[in-house]
Amino acid sequence: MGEFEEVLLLLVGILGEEAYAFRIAQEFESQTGRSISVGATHSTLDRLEDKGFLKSSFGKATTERGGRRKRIFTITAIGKRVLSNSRDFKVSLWSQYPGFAGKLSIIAG
Amino acid sequence: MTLKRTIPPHLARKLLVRFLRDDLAEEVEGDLDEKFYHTLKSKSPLHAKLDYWYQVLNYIRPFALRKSARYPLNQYDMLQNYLKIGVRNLLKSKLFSTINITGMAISIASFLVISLFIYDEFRFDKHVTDVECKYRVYNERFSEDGTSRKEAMISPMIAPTLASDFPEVESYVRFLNFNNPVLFEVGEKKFAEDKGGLAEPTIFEMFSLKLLEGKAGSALREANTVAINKTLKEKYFGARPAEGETIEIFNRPYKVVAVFEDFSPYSHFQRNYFLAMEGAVRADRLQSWTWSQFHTYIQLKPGTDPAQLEAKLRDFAERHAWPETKPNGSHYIPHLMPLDQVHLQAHEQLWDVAVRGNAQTVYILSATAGFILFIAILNFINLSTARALDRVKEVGIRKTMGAFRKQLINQFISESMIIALVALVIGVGLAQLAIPVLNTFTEKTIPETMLWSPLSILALILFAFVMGTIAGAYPAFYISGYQPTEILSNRNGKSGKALLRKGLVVLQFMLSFFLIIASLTVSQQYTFMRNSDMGFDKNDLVVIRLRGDMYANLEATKQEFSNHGNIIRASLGYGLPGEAFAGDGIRDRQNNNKESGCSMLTVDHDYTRTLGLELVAGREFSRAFPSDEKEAFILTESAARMLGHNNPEEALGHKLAWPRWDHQDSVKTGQVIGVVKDIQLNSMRDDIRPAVIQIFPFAFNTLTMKVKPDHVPETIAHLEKTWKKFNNEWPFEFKFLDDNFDKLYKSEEKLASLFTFFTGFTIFVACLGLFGLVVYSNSHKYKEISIRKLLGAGEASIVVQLGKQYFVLLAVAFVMAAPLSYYAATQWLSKFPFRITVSPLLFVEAGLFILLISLATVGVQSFNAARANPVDALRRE
Repeated sequence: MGEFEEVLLLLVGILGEEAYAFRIAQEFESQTGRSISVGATHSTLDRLEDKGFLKSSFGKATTERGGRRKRIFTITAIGKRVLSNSRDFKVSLWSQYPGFAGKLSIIAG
Repeated sequence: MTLKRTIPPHLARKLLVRFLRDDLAEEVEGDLDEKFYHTLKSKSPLHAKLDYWYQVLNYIRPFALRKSARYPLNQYDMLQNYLKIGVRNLLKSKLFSTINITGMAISIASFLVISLFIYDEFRFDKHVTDVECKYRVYNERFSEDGTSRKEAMISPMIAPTLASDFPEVESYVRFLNFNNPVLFEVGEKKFAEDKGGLAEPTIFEMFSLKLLEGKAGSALREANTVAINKTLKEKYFGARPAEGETIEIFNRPYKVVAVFEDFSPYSHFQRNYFLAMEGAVRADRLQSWTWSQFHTYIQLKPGTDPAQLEAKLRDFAERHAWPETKPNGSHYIPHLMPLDQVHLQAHEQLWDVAVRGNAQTVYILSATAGFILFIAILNFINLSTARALDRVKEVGIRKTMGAFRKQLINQFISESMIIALVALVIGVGLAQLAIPVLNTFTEKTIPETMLWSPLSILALILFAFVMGTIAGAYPAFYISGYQPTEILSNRNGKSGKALLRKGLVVLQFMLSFFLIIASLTVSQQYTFMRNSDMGFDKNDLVVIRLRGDMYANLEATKQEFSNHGNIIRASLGYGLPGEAFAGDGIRDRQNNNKESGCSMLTVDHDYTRTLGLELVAGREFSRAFPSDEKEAFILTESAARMLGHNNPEEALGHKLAWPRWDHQDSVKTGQVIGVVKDIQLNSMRDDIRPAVIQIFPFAFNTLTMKVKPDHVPETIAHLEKTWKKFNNEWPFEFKFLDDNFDKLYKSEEKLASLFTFFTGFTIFVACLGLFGLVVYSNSHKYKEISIRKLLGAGEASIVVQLGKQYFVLLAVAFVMAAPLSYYAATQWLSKFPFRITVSPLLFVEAGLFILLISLATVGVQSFNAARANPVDALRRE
């Protein structure tokens, strides 16, 4: 899993009910300061869904956006496991890195 | 506050819907909408719209794209099937395929050859840097009678005054052409060099000439310096550098200051060497507003609007030039012509040295190229709809099996693509073979690899596809439109729309008629010009230019040369028909004494008889009248008219005055002793100009001899021997006067025959189509023919029966084409002062021609059909 995919996966988790392509792209921009097109976000979300880390369903129709429904993404159990595996792996790497070993306990805790 | 809502750009949204997978459409549109309105809150509407576009384009990703097939069929297999059926069909109906492929191949080849020619014509001077800022200055000269003509050579004051009056003129160059070759001497090497002249230092920059030696800024600044091209440098100096060397020119040493790369063959201006203008022309002569001998080019500052400058030129001429030119009765206005247009557009300008093409020819040939393609496409449409009957069963079955109409259309279009592609390959091959022929014929140097650049290959393939689509579209829609029930239940389906087919045949033959009449008109006009009476007998006239010692004693020279049995008569003079020479002015003392423009022929006593001029009043020059040598003029009829005489006799005895060429401010006066018929001194393309003939030895530069038509080699040997007696410096040179005229017409006649040639192809392609059509319609009439035969009809009457309808079509085409071609022919002819009239005979000729050809086409086929054994046809079912 690439870094971008990992971030998107996390963002989906953070946004919860609000996790649809535009909102995720917006959040990505505000959190990282990097700009990203909706299409690129959507493409990655689609890939993550193919891999089984995400699942999606249409949200309810609202009066906003011309009554068009949103596709809401949610993390699957596998997705969560992949995220925590990834974190654990990094933590273990960080813990082996002498310069940061002390501070790491704070984060890990 | 405005009520108008800003909404996402419509086009972008349409694009999105077009390519986006249907199941994604709702959410994506929603997301992008939201994004758009979100952006709109903080940014400008433009920004939001651009961002919307950006977002849409960013959705062009594999995951989001609509899968290409609307009908999820196996496209690849179907295409394979189309190709297979297409190829089978081609092979099955060999005649149809041959006709279509031949027609298209010929038309593609013709189109390519013409395109290459045209491309080559438009390439002229495009290589010159900043060519968009560079212009030729030419004059439009108005005579007192209100007529005007354009002149490529203008007076020397115009360019510098333009530069000082108008800051937008950045630089200029003036060039004074040498009409005759000049002798170059370097050590032992002596040659007469032509294509040279006096030029200013800016000449190299104006024509973007690369200097191999010398410096562009300083070369030709000093007097007695010369710049030569690479070819001359190699001729005289071989491999060693030429800069600083000396060439003897006009018996004076000239220092070589520059060697320039030869002019590109795509330059309208072609010269081999330039002598410095500085010191070669007296400074006061350069102050002239009337001495119109200079080819002049200017460069404008970037961004200047030439139209604005052009608009000021009338006033400019009025202020500076008219005070000097008006008293002489004529005046001029300078004009600008973009340098890269001179080649094609300057054909009206007189006294030009440019390599000239003719825009009109280019347009005529382009139209022909279009016609021939069009006719080949019509052939295809015609034959395909005619053959529809053979294909409808296939269509019915395919439809019953579930084929969509769109698929059938694709099928038929892919078949026409196959034909177009095969035709393309053959056509390109033919064009490739034709390039060397075209090059020799038109004296061009079109590279043979021209068709093989990646770009042109791409263009050719695209071209074949477009042609295939255009040709195939109508038959495809037409055939695929049949209802299966109709086709399969009714076995006697009609073979397509007869009316449309007839209409197309009429259209084809209209075009053929039009082209025949056009090419007949063009070739007859040129024949007419070549053979028309020019007022003198141009045959058997040999001309040599006087050189070196021949000038020492002109009479003795003439005696020496004419002292041979084969030389009937000889005359010394200046101003030969067919060569550009100076215009001049003459006054009639007794008739308002106003100066009128005319061509001045300065000759000796024998001129009128040598050239065979026809006297209409008075007498010729004669040694019996000693005064003839100093005080006599002979006028042409038009010169007499110009001086105000209603008939030639009236002019006799009138006193004329002429400003002499040898002493400024002195005037020669004399009486009119005779009037001769008009002489055409130029090509018959031009109006006849008034001419004045007088004896004036100062200007003599040629010896013209009337020779016996036989024993020409002997005569020439005598001339060469005599030439050697006078000098060894100049190589022996002579020419026949009618060569001058051949040169005037040669290029135009070549283009005319090119046109005739392609007209022939067009007619051939049209006849191919007609032939195919007749074959097909006859093949469906076998039963009818057989029954007629059984009932006792003769073969002849059957042929008439079968052919009749086509001749009706031909007649319709003829009636419709006649007025159009009459109009076009008269329009084209109207530019010639001496022209043929478009006679009814021309139409009869063209009509008969087409009739014969189509008779052959239709007749042979119908005759075969009529001769078939009725039993064979009737047994067929």
